[in-house]
Amino acid sequence: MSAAAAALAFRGVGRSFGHGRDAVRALDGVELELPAGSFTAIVGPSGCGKSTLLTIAAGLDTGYDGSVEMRPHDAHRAYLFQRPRLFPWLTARRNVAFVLEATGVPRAAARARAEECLALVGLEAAADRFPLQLSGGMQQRVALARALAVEPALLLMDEPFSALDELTAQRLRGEVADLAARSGCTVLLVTHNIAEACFLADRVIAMGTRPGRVIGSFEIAAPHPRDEQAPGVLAAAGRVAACLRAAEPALATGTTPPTRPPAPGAGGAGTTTTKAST
Amino acid sequence: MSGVAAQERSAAIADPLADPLPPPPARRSRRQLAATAGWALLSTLLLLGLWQLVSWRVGADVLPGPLTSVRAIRFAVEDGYLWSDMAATGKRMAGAFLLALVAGTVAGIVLGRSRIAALLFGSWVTILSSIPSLLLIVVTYLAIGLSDRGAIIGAALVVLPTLTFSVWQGVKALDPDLGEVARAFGVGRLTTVRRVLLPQTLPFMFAAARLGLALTWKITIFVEVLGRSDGVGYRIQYWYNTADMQRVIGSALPFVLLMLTLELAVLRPLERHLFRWQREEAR
Repeated sequence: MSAAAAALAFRGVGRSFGHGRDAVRALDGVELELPAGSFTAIVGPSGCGKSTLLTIAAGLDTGYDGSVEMRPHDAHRAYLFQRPRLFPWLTARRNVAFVLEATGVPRAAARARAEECLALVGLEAAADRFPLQLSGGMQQRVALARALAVEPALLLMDEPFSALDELTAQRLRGEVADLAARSGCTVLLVTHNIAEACFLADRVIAMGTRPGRVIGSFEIAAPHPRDEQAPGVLAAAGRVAACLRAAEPALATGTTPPTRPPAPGAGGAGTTTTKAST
Repeated sequence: MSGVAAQERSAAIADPLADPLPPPPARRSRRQLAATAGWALLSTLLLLGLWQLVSWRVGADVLPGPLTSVRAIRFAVEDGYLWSDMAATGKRMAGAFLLALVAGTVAGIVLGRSRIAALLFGSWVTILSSIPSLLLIVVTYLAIGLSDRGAIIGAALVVLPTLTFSVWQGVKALDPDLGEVARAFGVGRLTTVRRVLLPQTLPFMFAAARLGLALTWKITIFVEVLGRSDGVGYRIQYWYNTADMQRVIGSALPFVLLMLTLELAVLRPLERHLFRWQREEAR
């Protein structure tokens, strides 16, 4: 279960889409260090390029400028998508085993490992079910088992809880926090849910739009396991929200999720607690 | 490893009450099966009854009843042409079907993957499908000759657009999200095609093949009427010209029954099994 964690560094990463007058600068000058074993969350409004950053980290998008360094460079990466994205024609067990078999693990070993991982997410009884016969939350758990199966050194998550009902999402968040901590892998989570980011991560990166860029970095000092209502978590959420609101006046009109209490002394707080990311 | 795994398992945060596994797939009970069989039997009897009624109404020399028709198969056996006819027709049908399936699959994949190909040739498929079968077959016979080759190619041309459309649709339905999963987990290109893309097109391919088979059989009969001197189609026309309707039906019925058996006993159960994952309530 424990593979060496990977470290990831974005240096001056930018990304443009389209050509000429239609060109859109989705990301610009992103400098970000993810130490091995850290849990980082990126929050920001739609269009801030946070998902683009994740696909770049996954190696799915190679059309960026600047550089991305992963150490070790051949570290196992796993990806948890917003939707489960399981193969509907394979049973839960074979869905998990597939990513192992397809990368050279012998069939029997892959299936055994798949069952282990399904047990980790509490779904050993569903191993022979097809995805369409499982609830949305269970499907996402199978996807989590699939991500854990490859013993990732770097786990990338793209709003993995946003398509679930809130109760299921809460339970799954707890499981992810627990499993990520135990596996010791480096985690990068992208979300628009500030409370979720502060509950899970050790560090929250706030991003702004036009162009997508890093506008703040917040250390969340609260010890694990955390409570979503813990004062440290709530206070951090307030600071992150204030930072995002300051950068995006349109957000101040009440469209942001209610992350109370607001930061004490909102004016200066954003800048003093924000560490300029190196 | 196993010790750690066991420890992790016991620590897994699973709350079976809050998120219960949907009920296990239920097998159909004996009684349900018997009921289904009963309805199927009743449906068949009704159809045979209707056939008999029409036969009485229009006269047995125009449309022989079911019993007479089944008995007429005996003539075909006794005269010795039953098996040779079925073999000839079966050979042409298999040839035309395979030809159309291969060509339709290739064309469908190309049209589905390449935008330029779709713009250039997409309308050709529509045009081909709107040409009357008779015209296609006659022109093919003239171009290639009144031979088995001409018959096979003519029948294949008639079936081709339908198969191409089905495969094309299947390729267009490919989910790019699943391809991205394969890339995110470092799955190789060939494995992705074989185990991620192909399984997605399989339901469409299967439906296309089933449709194509049923269509090819009817077109093959037609092709034989027009330009062959053996096979089920030729025999139907021969007895029609002698106004012997009993033998017309006696010649056609064996192949109809063969195709029906293939559909009901092989293709449908196979489809149910292969694509059982598509049903939310699995059996």
